[in-house]
Amino acid sequence: MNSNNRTRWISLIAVVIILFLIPLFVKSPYWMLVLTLMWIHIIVAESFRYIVTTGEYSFAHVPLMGMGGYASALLAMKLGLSFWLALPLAVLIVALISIVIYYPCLRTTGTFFFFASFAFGEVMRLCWVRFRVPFGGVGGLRDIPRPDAIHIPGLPPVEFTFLSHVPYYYLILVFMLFSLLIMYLLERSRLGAIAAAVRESKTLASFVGIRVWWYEMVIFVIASAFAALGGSLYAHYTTLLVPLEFYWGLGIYVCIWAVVGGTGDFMGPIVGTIVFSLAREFLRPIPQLVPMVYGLILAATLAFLPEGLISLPSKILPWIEKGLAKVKER
Amino acid sequence: MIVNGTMTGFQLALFATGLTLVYGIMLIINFAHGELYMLGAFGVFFFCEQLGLNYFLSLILAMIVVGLIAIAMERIFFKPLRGQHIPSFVMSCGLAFMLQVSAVLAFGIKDKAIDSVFPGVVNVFGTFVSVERLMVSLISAVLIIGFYIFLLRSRYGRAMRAVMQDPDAAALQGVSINQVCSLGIGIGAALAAAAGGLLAPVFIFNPWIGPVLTWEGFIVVCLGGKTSLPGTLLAAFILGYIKSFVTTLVDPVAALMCEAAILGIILTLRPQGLLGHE
Amino acid sequence: MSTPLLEVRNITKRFGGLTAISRLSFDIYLGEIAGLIGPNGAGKTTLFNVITGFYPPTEGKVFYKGEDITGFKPHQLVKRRIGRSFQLTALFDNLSVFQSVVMSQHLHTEVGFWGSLFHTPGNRQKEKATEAKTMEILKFTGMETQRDVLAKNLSHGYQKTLNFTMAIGTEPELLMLDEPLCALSPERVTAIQNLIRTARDKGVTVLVIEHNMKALFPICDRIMVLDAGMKIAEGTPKEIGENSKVIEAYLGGAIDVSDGR
Repeated sequence: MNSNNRTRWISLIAVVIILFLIPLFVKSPYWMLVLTLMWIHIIVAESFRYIVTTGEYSFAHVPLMGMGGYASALLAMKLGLSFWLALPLAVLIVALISIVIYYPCLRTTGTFFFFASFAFGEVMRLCWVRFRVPFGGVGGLRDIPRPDAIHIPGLPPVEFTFLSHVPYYYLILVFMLFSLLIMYLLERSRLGAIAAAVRESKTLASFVGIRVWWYEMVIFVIASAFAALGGSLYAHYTTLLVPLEFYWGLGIYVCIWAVVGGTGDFMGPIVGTIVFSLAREFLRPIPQLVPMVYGLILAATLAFLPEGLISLPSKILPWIEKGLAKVKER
Repeated sequence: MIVNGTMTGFQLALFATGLTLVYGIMLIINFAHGELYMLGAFGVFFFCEQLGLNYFLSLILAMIVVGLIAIAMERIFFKPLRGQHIPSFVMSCGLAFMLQVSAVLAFGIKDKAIDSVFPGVVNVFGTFVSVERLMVSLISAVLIIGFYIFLLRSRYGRAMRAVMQDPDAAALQGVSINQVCSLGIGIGAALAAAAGGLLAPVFIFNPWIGPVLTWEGFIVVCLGGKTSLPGTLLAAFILGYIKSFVTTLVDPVAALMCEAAILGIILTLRPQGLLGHE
Repeated sequence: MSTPLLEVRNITKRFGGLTAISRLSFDIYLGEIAGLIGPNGAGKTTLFNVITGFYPPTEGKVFYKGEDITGFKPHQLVKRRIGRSFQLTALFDNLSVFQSVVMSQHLHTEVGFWGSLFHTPGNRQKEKATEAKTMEILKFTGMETQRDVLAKNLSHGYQKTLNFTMAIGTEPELLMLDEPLCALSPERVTAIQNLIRTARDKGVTVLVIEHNMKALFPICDRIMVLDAGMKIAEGTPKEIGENSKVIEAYLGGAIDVSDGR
């Protein structure tokens, strides 16, 4: 078991090192953009999955991400706060907002929860459209301030301009790894075990003394905090925030990334997001077909590989072993 | 406002009845219903504008075609997922995407319109209303009444109601569940297509009008009680009036917010809707 | 008699037009094993559900140790040391037997949140303590051989035993069992009977719903009989066995309390 663990650690560190070295090989600003956005999407997809560990699917997640973006942007624009301050404050604000949004949903479950969360998330999103002050209405917010430069003694300051693809890449990469680390630890902790119990059977969970609504709320708030983090990063990276971006379509995409990747496994949404982001790049020439392809992949996954892409290795390995055994017999 | 609300109510009623039917019979959530509406509009466009057929004939043809498409959808995609809410919902989203793309491929992305079938304006209770919209409401009413007569009187109607109440008992009585499901979705789709086709001369349409409508239809269904057809009618009108009032008194976005809020409130406080039972 | 542990007063439960339980009252005393029997549909499980907070009673009250617990939610009752098993299996399907029982120790484990988050050495110790305790519980009910089997893969008999084990895991003072013996092999039945007796010897009060009267009668001090939502008889197993009303309520002839049916 320990050697297995060690291989995992080594491969993990190797992957992280590779991620840090990518900007040395990839020079195209376009691909930098794609990758950086992908890191943000991973944060959102993984935190979406975190909610799924309780057994619920929330559609308020993406609107809350947007709220994180708006909160952060507004704190920077209206109150003049630096990004480095606006981000944590936005996360806190959205955590509080998520309590308000999820509280009524606690009495619902399954499909009811799904649509109730959808409904409240939509109300929030429509607020951005309805109230031009302060949200900027349909046009949204523009010219969102970029992060202040980082000053490391002895080195030139790290600037964040619209040309700073590499600094942004590292910034967001670090945040993503940080988020993933925390979510991973949370899942392995007692909270994760409780979430699993709640997912399996809310009834039985309450009969072993688990205050189900309380733990669900804790998990929802934590997940929303990460969504807000992603939203804030998004806002200060693209410097443009439009309500339409966080429409239900994005919610479905996030859902697809997580589900197709596999919600049962921590790595699932990561795999799903990467696969779909790359797929979308290949489909650039035919944008109208993107939804169709996504739909087909989703349908195929649900039909043939319900546990997601992440379960592919464990499905294929037995086949390979059988095949090898047969060859040996001969 | 009131008149507007009533007409919107009829619209929604026609559309949402189909949705309730599908849910009640097969216990699946069909988020592609709006796409069926959209196809209804395009169908009429196709038969009427491009083939030059009479409007009413086009309407009937569109209803039939969309109904058949829906039955095919059901047989291929929904059948294994009967009774499972979330997988069927996800599947229907995928189908919705695909239908949208098909419409784009077939008809292009530009907005389309059909000439009015009933020109002119008429004075109803002090408001000026286009004859077109009035006729839409009337025809919707006729279709809804016709549907209810079918449901209450005909053999197939009774079979559908039986399956909605208790599928196992119905099966024991010799009702073919598959038949009823196909019939259910076929009729539901036809009603949605009718709604689409009737409103084609009134509003501009394009391949993406589906989702907004599905959303509103869904709110109606939940508000009325997911398996209750009379509830759907009641809810359709309530929502129609609210929408009309808020849109006029405040603004359209606020109306959308109200609708979303209503859904949230209903689901959390009274999940069985107004007339449903759980 | 000493004050009752559990007092049920005039419980009525209506579902729409159907009255499942009608003005039901009884007491359970500390340290006894009480049985609740009745034909199908008599309202036994409904009664359990009302007492354990699944749904509130339409009328009536429930008192535990003098405290009004009417309508209390399940987790509040578990906190007060009322444990329950289920008739139809409610299990954590994808958790192993071991994990399930660890979960049942939720209120009694020392493992804290922050400790488990960062895997501090102090936490490691507490985890070991919980694991040891869990193994004890598993041994007590004879499930230690199944420890890593997923709940959904267990045989029916073991699933019921797991249910029972988890109820024990919540360290209850009042243990409410819903049909723990039905559809089990004779060896399993004897095993569970012994477990119930041992639990009582350790100070647990037990209230059992059961259909299998032959298995229930030998272990109970008192029996209550329900029919159509009403209590129709109460007494020792011998008294009940000879009670004509009870015999009428069940199809068939006299209920044979001794062996041989």
